[in-house]
Amino acid sequence: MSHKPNSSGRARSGLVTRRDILKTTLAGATSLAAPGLMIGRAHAAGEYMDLASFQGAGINWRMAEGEKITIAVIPAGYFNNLETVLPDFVTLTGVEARLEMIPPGQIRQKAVLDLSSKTGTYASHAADPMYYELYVANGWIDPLDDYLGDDKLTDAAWFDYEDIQPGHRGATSVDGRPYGIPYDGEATIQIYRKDVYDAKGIAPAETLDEYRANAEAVHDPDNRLWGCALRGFRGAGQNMYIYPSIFRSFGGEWFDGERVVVDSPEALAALEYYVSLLNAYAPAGVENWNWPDIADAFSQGTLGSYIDAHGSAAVVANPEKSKVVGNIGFARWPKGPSGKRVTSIWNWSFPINGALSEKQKQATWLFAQWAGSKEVQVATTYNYPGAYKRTGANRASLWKDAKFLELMSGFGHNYVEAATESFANDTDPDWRPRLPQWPAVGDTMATAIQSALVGQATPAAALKDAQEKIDKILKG
Amino acid sequence: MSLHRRAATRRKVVLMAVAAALLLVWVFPLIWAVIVSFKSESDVLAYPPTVFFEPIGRNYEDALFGDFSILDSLATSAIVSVSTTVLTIVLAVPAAYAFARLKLPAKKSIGFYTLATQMVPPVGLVIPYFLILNKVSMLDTYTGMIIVYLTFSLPFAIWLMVSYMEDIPFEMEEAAFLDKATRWQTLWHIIIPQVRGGIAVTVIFVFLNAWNEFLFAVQLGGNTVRPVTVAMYNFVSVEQTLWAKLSAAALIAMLPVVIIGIAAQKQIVKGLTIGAVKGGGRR
Amino acid sequence: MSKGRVNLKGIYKRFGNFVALKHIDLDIKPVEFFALLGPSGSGKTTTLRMLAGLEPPDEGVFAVDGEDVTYAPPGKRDIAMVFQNYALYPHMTVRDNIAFPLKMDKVPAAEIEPAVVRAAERVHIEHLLHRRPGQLSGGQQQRCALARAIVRQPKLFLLDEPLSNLDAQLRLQTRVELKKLQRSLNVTSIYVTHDQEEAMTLADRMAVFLDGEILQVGTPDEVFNRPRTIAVASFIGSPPMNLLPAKLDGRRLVVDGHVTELPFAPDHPGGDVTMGIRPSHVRIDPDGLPTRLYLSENLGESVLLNLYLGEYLVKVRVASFASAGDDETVPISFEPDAIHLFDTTSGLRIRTAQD
Ligand SMILES: Nc1ncnc2c1ncn2[C@@H]1O[C@H](COP(=O)(O)OP(=O)(O)OP(=O)(O)O)[C@@H](O)[C@H]1O
Ligand SMILES: [Mg+2]
Repeated sequence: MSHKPNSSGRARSGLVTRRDILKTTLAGATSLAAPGLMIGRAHAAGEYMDLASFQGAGINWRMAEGEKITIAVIPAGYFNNLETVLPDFVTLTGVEARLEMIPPGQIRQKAVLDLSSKTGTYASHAADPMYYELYVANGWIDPLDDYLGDDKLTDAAWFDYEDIQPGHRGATSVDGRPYGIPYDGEATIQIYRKDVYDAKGIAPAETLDEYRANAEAVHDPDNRLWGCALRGFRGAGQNMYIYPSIFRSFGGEWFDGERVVVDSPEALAALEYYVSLLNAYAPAGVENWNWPDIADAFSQGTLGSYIDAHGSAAVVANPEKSKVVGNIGFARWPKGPSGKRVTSIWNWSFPINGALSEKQKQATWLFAQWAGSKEVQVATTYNYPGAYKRTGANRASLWKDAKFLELMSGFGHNYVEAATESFANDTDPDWRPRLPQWPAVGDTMATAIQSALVGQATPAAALKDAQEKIDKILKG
Repeated sequence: MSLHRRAATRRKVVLMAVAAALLLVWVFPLIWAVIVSFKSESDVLAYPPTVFFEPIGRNYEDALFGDFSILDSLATSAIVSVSTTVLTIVLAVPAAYAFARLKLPAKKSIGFYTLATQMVPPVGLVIPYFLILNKVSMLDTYTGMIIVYLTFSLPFAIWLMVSYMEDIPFEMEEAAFLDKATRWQTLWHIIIPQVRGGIAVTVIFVFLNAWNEFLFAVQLGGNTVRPVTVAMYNFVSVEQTLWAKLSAAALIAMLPVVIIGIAAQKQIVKGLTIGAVKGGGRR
Repeated sequence: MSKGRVNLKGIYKRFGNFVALKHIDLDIKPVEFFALLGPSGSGKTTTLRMLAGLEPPDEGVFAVDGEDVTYAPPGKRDIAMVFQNYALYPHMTVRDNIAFPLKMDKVPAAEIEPAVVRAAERVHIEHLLHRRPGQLSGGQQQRCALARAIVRQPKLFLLDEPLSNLDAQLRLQTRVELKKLQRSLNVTSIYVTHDQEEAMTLADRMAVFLDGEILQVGTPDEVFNRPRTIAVASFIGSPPMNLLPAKLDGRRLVVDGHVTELPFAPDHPGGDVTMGIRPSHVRIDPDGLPTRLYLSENLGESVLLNLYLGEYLVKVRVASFASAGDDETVPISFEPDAIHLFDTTSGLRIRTAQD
C-alpha cells in the first residue's frame, strides 16, 4: 500500500475549497500563494515548511524510516490542516504516516477497543484528555517522560516541551507523568453581541449573577433574540463540558478523600443556576443543543451571548455563514460565588500506543513530536494556506507571536485578551473528576443534568440519583 | 345514494387524508434535504427560511468532487453491498432449498436459533467481531467486512427464503425429477423462477442493510474500507455541520437505494402475480 | 422385446408406525392398462409414488423388465407421471412445460419443437402453447400435464386420478380419449382411481386396494363378476351387492326362512355363509320374503328400492315401481344363477357355477 491519502481523508485543505483559498489570498490576509505553486521554491524540500528547521534538531528524524503508522482523528478543521501538511512529515522522516477520520461519536470506543485488545491498529489517536486515567490505569499507553528525556529521541531545546500551555500539559499527564503530546486546545470564554450590549449600555459579565442579569436585559424572544445559551445536550463532552466549570466556580469539590461527590450543596447551587438560567433565557430546545447548534443560532443573530470554546469564534466570525460579523465581543468566564473563573481544559493530544513495536513507537513519537512542534503549529495556524486557520495553538510562545495574534484579533473585540488570559489564569486541573471510570461517571452526570434541565427531576433529586449511581460505579 | 354508501365514502376520504398526512410526515425530511441541498450554507440557517432562493448545484459538485469527495466511499459501499448481496443470494438460495425440503426433526429449532441470532443487539457483537477479525488480520479489509455482513444477512435471508420455498408444492419438483432434472436443474429451472419475488425482497433487504450499515463499518473498517455512511461524517466536523453539503451527499448516497428499490419492485410484483393466479399446480 | 413389464414383490411401506402398504405383489404385463382401485387412503398413491421412485419401500423388490429398480432415483427410471393436481410449472408456458422433459433429457433443440407440437396435438391443446398454466381451464391443464408425460417415450406411464378434478361430463369425454390415447401409445400404463366405473371402463386389468393390501387382481369382468372376498364384493358395483347371512345345506340356501334352490353344488361343507346378490338380480316375487319398503329412489332409467329385511337393508333395482305408500310390504326373491356365496369366517368366495 502506498501512503496515498485516503478518500476521507484527503480533506487536503480541510474545510477549504479552492475558491476560499483564492479569496483569502486576494484579501491579503496572508501572503501565501496557493500550495501547488510553492513546491520546492521558498522552502527546502518541504511543501509547507522549511525542513531545515527540523533537521536543525539534534535527533535522527529518519530513525524509523519505512515504518507505517495510522493515527485516528476526528473530522475537524484542525485535523484537516494537519493532514494537509502531513506529507512534509513523510518527506522528513520516511515514515508512512496517515490519518484516519473517525466520527466523533465513535473515536473513543474505537480507540479503547484497539488499545484494550492490543491490536496496534492506531499508533496514536486524537485522545480525549479525560481518558488518560483509564489508559494509564490499564497500561495501554507509554509514559512519555522516557521519550522526552532521551536525547536520541528528543532534542529538548528544540522541542521545548515546557512551552506547551501548562493546562494542556497537565490535562495529558497523570500523576505528574506526561502521556500525550497536546496538538490543539481550547479555553472556554464568553461570547456576546457587542452591538446589543452597547445599545443596552451593559458590559460583559464579570460574575455569574451579572451574566444572568445581562441575559435578562437583552432577552427579547418576540424579536427573536434570546438572552443566552449553554450546551444542553446530554453527554460527557456536551453538558458535562459546561456544568463542571459552573460547579467549580461555585466552590464545588469533586473529591472528598477517595469518594466522588456530586450532590454537595455547591453542586446543587450550580445546577440550579444552570437550569434556571437556561429555562428563563435560552431558546426552546436548548436541551438538545450542542455547541455547533449554539454557534449557528448566534451566527443568525438570535442569541445575546453564550459561553463556549474559544474556537467557535471561527464559525461565528465566518462571513459566509454568520450575520453578526463585526458585532462580536469576547470576555473571560464570569466569576462564580467562590470568586473563581474556571475554564475547561479541553485539548486533543497524541499518546503512544503501548502495543506497538519499538520501531513503530519511535515513528509515533516522531509524529507526536512533529505535530506538537512550533513549526507545525505555525504551519497549521496563521501560515496555513487555506481560509480555515486553527485557533487552538498549543504553545504559549504562539500566543505571543504577533502574526498569530493578528490573525486572532480579527475574530472580534477583546478576543486575544480573553483567550490569552483564560489560558494563563483560568484553567483548573481539577475541572472534571479525573479517574479511570470517567466515561461512565461523565455519562451518569450528563443524564442527571439533562433530566434536571427538562424538568424530569428537580436538581436535588437528579443529583442524589447520580450520586447513588456513581457510588455504585466506583465500588464495582 | 344510501346512507351506508355515504358513510363508506366519508371513511375513504378520512383514510386518504390520514394516509396523505402520514406520507407527508415521512416525506418531509426528504423534501427538506432536497431543498437544503440546493441552498448555500448561509441560506440554510436563515430565519425566516428563504422560500425563494437561487438553487445552486455547487453542493453536489462538492460532495462528489470537492475536498470531501464521497466518490471513493460510494465505490466502497457499492463493493461491500453488492458483494454481500450476491454472496448472500448465492449461498442462501440453495441453503433455504435444503432447509425447506429437509425432513429434519430439528428444523423448527434451527429456524428459531436462526431468528434468535437476529435479535442479538449488534452492539454486543462489535467487540467479538473486532477481536476475531484482528486475529485473522482482516480488520479494515473488504473480505473481513463482507464476511461480517454475511453473518447477519445469511441467517435472515435463509429464513426468509425458506418461507417462499415452502410455498412450492413437493409435486412440482417431483415432476421435475421424473422429467430427469437433477437437483440443481430443479433448483435452477423450477424453484428459483418461482421465488423470484422472494429473492427480490431478500436482495433489497440485504442490500439496504449493507448499504446503510454504520456501526460495524466504523468499528471494523478504516481507511481502506470506508463506506459512505462513515465518510459522510466528514461534513459533520467538530466545528460545524455543513448541512447543505451533507444533504447533497446523503441524497447521492440514497440514489442507489432508490434505484434498486424501483428495479426490484417490478420483480416483486411479478413474483406476486405468479403466486396469485388460479390453479397452475399450486395448492 | 417385452417392454414395460412390471413386477412388485413383497412391498412394505411404513410411515412411522402406520403401515401404508402391506405385502404388495403385482405383475403387470407389457402395454397393459392397469388400474389401481380402492377407497380413499387405501394406498394407491403410495404405490404409484413408489413406482416412480419418489417414496422408496421399506421392504420388497420392484423390477421393470426384470431389472431391479427398487432404489433407483426417479430420473433414472424412464417413467412419466401425471400428478393428481398436474404439478405444471406455473412460470413456464405450456410449450416450455411440455418441452421440459426433452430439454432435461438433452434432446437436440431441433427435435424438441416438433415433438412438443405432436404431443400437444394428440391432446388437442396445440392452440394453447403460448399460455401459462394459470391461464388454462382445469381440463386444459390436465391435457397439458398429459402432453408433458407423453412427449417422450417412457417405459411406464403413471396417472394419479387424472380425471378427478374435472366435471362429470368432461370426465366421461376424456375417459374415452384417454383409453384411445393409451392404446396408440403402446406403453404400460398404471392408473390410480377410486372411481370403479373409470377402472372398469379403462383398465385391461385392475388391482383392488383396501387398507394397504391388494384384495384382488383381475380383469374388470373378473372383479365384478367373481369378487374374491366379501370386502371386494362390498366395494364393487354401484351400489355394491347386497350381503345377507344365510344357511347352506347342500344346494339349499336358507335366508330368513326363505329357501332358494341353487342350480349348482357349492364347494362348501354347509352351515353359516354370507350370500351376495346384486340389486338388479333381486326380483319382486309375491311368493318371496316379505320386506318393508323404506325408500324408493327414481334414477330415471330404473328405480332403486331400499328395503328392510329384518334389520338388513336390501337394495333392489327394478325397471319401474308403483308405490302403494310408505311401510308397504314388498316380497322379494333372488335369482339363483346370480347368487354369490362367501365363507363368513374367512370372508373368501365359495366357488359357484360361474367360476
Ligand atoms: N407421507 C406420509 N406420511 C404419513 N402417512 C402417509 C404419507 N403418505 C400417505 N400416508 C398415509 O398412507 C395411507 C395411504 O395413502 P395414499 O395417499 O396412498 O392413499 P390413496 O389410496 O391414494 O387415497 P386417495 O384416494 O385419498 O388419494 C393414508 O392413510 C395416508 O394417510
Ligand atoms: Mg391418492
